[in-house]
Amino acid sequence: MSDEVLGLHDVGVRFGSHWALRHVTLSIAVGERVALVGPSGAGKTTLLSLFNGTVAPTEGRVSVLGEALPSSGRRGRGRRTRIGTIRQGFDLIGSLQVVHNVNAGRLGRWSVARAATSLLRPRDIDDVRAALARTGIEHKLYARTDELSGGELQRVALARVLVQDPEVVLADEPISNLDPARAREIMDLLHTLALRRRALLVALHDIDFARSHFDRLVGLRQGQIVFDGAPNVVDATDFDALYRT
Amino acid sequence: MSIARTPAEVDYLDGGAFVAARAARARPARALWAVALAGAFGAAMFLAVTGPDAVINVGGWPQLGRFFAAAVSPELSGAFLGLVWDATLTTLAYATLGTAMSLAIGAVGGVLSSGAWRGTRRGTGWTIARAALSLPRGAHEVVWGLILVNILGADPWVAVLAIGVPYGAVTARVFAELLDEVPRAPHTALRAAGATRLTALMYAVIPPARRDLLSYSFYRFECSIRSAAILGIIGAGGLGYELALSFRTLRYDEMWTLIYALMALSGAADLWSGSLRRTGAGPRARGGVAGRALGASAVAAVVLVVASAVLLCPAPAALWSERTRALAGELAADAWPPRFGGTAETGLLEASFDTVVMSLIAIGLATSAAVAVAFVAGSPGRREDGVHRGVRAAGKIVLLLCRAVPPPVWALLVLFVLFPGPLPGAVALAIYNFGILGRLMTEVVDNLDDGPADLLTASGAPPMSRFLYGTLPAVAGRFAALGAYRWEMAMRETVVVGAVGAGGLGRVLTEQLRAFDFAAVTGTVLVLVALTFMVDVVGARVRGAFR
Repeated sequence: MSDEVLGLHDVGVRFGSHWALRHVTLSIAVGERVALVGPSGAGKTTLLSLFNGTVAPTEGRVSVLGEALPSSGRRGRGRRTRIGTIRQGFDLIGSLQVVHNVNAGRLGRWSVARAATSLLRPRDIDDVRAALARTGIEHKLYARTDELSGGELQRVALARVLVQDPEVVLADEPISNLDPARAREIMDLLHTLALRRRALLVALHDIDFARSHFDRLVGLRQGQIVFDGAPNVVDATDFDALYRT
Repeated sequence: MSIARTPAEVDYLDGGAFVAARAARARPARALWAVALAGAFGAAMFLAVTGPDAVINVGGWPQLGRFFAAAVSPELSGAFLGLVWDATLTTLAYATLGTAMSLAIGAVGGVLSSGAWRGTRRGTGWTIARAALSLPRGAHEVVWGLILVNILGADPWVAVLAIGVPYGAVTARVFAELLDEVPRAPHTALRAAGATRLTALMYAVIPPARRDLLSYSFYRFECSIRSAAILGIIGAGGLGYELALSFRTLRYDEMWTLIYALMALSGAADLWSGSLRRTGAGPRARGGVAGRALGASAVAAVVLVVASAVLLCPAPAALWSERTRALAGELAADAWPPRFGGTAETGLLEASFDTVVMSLIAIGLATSAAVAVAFVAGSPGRREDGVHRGVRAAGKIVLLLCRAVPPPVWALLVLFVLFPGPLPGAVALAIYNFGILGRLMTEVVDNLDDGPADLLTASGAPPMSRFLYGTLPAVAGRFAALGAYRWEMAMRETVVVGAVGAGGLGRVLTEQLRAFDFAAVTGTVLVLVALTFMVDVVGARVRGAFR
């Protein structure tokens, strides 16, 4: 498939003696919006981590934006700049102001000198402000990040990805700390993000959002793909099978 | 004097929570503080190395070389090893009893000044108690030792009290803060249900704080070992005393045997507290491995205290004998009112200035070296290859050497190659504090959550940008807190190196003590305490700025 942006070919990941993923094959194309659903411990986070290079496969092949991983050095860095990640724990830097945490999305494109001077006098404030306005916390521009609530942190993490402007967005449980109204806002935002030929891969617990906001659902259970199809193809019995203990 | 500070010792033990609790406070510009501190350090350095007199004694290098060469050939004859063994036991015994005393004072003082005990009332009594608690920690253990010697003579109580009282004051302060960090709701509920103050405290406040209280107690023990070695030099006996004796006769091979014994003692205490912290840090703090480790440690601690008491046999009667009371009365009469005079050669103002310069140089050098070592020897991220492990191990041994050798011994060694003045004392303190700070800062880097920095790498940040945005901001606050805390300690420690002739208030104090001029001693000690508090206040500001 020529427009594949994310690909796994018979991939397995082992931590110690435990296989987090086994024999997983998956291909995601440009512009696709994919929800990754499954119980805790099914391997969702591991699967996302394969694509941004923080976890290496034990076996099989991973390809991202047409390149086989792992590719290291400058070339690998250039590719990583094109992948945005929102992690479950957000992984923001608490002691920095929000503006710097958002600007951190640009570090892949910035020179080190530019990155350093921006810490003293923030650069590209207007873009940061615009990104924060889109996620609804523009007023927190200069707040210290460790003073924010869980929901606000989630918005900062999203604003960072907006500023990074990547071709692929990976998000791990992006609405787990939000009330239903906020959750819908964020899901809508992620949904529109994917419009400009971006691929979106989101790990989710909420099956309703998975159905309403995504073109394709991938069910993961005990490290293996159980189903993979459009929301109208995947039915209730498939979900029951997924969460059955 | 109001000293609003969270001791960085607390930060060191369990950073996050304490820092986060105070994060809402407004922060002055970090850059401003960084420039001001760097400027002060630069000025101090400039003052110390420029001047009419030569600084470096070229002739002393071969001597220093011979000292380090002896590291590979320590004295290992049976007779000497026997002596080292006895000295090690003596130092350990002083450290143990000193710690036991400080913990007893700390437990009582900490509970009485905790919020849970005194409720919300903060009367005059409380203010006076707080001030009384902060006075003993203003002066170094050696100062208390030198004063107590005049009352008690050559009694084991001197070293025990010299460690126990000032450490007890610090411990009370820290314990109170740890107890105050515990959420109050369960305590309030128990009190409302009719529990007595003590019962409510034992059931609702102490258990949640238990791990921190324990960690801090062990940290105090490590400090006590270093203190006991230093006190040995001024006559308490043990490893410090033997070290000074061997130095006087330039028996470097003997010195190294003693240094290795000190390193073993310090290292063992580090390992003990470290392993206990690690097992106690898990989610299952009760029962299992952690419970057994705690139980075994408690038994070992009791055995140590009893054995130490048997070895040193400090007689309680000595504290209240006819002679002691008479001497204490005499001393008190001589010591009050204080006279702020200095000595014939050195005025108090000049000596104070030298002391501040010394502390600035010491902490500036120690902090920069420690930060560098922490980033090189610490293990952020996944680089754990053979080379890095080698560097790490070597770094740890050097740091252990630096903090195990007492500062006065470092000062004497530095005096081989530098002419007397504030600089050799400052360099000696820098080496010693580098050993302590390097270890604490490496621990901070080791315990760092790599998540934020890894995310930056995952989105394409080059390594240097990753460091600037992910690693540096995460450690800056802790590093500043540790640096500020050690700066205050370095200030107190200037006395210790001053005592061997390195200049500043310590030298003045030594001469006044030698002349039994106790009114002047009181004056000098008060100046020293005031300077320490000043550093404490500035340090609190620095901590606030970098938090």
